[in-house]
Amino acid sequence: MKTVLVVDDELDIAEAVQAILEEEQFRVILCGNGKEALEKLAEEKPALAIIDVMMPVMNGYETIDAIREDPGHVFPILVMSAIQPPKDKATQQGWAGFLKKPFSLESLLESVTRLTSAS
Amino acid sequence: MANTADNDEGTQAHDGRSPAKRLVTNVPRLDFITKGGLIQGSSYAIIGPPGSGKTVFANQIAFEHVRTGGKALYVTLLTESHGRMLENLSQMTFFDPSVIPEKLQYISAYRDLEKEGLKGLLELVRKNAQQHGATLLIIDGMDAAKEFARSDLSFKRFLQDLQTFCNILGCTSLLLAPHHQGEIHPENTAVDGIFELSLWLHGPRAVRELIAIKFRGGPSLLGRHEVEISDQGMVIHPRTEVQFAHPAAQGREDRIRMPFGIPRLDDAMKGGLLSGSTTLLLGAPGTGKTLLGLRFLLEGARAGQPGFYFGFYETPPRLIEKALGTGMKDFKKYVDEGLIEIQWQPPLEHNMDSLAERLLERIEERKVDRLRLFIDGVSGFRSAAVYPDRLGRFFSALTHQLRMMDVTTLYSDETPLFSPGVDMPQPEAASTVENVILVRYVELRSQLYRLLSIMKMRESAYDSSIREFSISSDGITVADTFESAESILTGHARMTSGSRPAARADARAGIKAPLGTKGAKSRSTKKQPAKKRAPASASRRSRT
Repeated sequence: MKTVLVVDDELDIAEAVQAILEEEQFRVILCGNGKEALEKLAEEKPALAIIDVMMPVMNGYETIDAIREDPGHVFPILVMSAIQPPKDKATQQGWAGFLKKPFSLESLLESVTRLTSAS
Repeated sequence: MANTADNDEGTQAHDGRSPAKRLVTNVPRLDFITKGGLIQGSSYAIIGPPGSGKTVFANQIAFEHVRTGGKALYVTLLTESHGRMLENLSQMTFFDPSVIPEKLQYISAYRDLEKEGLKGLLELVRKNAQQHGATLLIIDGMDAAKEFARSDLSFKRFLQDLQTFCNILGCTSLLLAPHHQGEIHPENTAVDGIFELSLWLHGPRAVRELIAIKFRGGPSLLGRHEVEISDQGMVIHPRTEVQFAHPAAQGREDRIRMPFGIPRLDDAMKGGLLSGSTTLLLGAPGTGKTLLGLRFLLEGARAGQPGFYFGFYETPPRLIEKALGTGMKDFKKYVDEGLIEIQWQPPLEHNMDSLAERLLERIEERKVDRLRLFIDGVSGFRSAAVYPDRLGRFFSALTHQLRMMDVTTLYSDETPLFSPGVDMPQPEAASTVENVILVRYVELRSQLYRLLSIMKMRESAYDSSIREFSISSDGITVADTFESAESILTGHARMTSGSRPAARADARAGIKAPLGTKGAKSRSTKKQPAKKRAPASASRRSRT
């Protein structure tokens, strides 16, 4: 069973993503902000991380920078946000994909399936 | 630095204290209501039922705040998702995604609230507001926070802690919560200001209002103000009567006469209406009120005076056609040149105060002297009124403001088509307007006549005779007195003399036959009873 780390401060969205992915036989770990996610990554090796941009304590961009600092974290990162990120941000941080909120079930599943099938 | 101002009006202290710094919201006319903006560092409750516009209101303030250099933190608690919210807001002209998240940050704090209660929420807000350097904090969904309070007292304590922190940070806070009529929120005592947004049905019409309930730290226009939400965001229309409670300007002293260009009518008014005065043109539908109004504007334009038609019923092409068909051949020329402006209000649901704002703003924009204004008619405002008992105060304020702007105003208003008596549809207007001109149909010997009389003219002598007037393709003509009948104002005149009405006058003025007749010639062959006396109501007299 592949593990997906979902980092989002909006609990309703995080829980909806968790329910959808668990239905598709993924194991899901939920975190409310970047700091919590980094703590979890000390003990987990997910196949994919889905990270929101606007979050309290540590936002998505800061979280991705911190993850990339550790060469051991080689999993793909799917970014989700209610806003369109700056053009060069995806390349700069090496995102594997982007989902604009609110997103559809199909686009979520398509992205997750594509990004986890390689691992 | 955000758009802030040292207020020199609302909170100017008279005891040497420095005035409170204001957060200028730029939400149309909100800063007018608060006399300069929200007070920086203060907390405001924004309450209202779902759909009343709380989120739009708060976001509009937030986007404007960051546009002018501030930083805002928008914290949600069990409200719609950020994605959905921003998608809806993206339709608004104030929405600017480029400021998110660097200047305007959206975070959800429900998880922390659920895990650690109000203490956790406070911690999260403190940390993020400080990190972000927020000068504006919005918490949307305060009802969820309240659910986690052990008692009203503990919730008040939470608010107090939040306020203290915001005050130190110089951060203004907006606390959004659902509210239904009749509910009492004990926490409202803890905030510095309360704005309630309401949404209710007035017949089939949805009415939005902003009710300024409380505003600490300075004077404000408390009470209900109508609100509109469009793609521009929220626009507040303060009650006209409180907006112009203290008109700043003084009317001009060098008053002149403003004639209609209709000889006998101008003579009866000793040269015309006084500039800066307000006149009510009262009459049943079809009696010629609009034509008289257009004639008034045309006569002004011919003398180089600007004119403004503000009406509800007829489109500009119809009005121009009407003018052309009644001898006002050069009316279109003045419209084309811009000397006469026609502003037609399409038959939509209007807001009374918004109409007044539109009218006054346009007059301000034109920056012209000796403006002649024809408002056609009062019923357009009346049908836009949600609270009919406001009408008297509304017209009094509007009229007063127009007077101070040296605008000579002619209002038309309708009386019933079939009614023997003449009742003013807006009785309070009698004391507001200086002049009243009545036009009406009168039936006499199976004929309908149009009659005109000056019922009242304050500050001027006038001739109160009742006169027949006619409308033809050559223009409007006012005849000499209609002195051969009595009970004219009842609409059912009785002959009192041997001559037919206005017969002598017709001969002098060349007036055409009354409505529905074939011509004066055929009428003149009728046998007339001997003249007894001129009716008292039709006698010529002067008043001052």
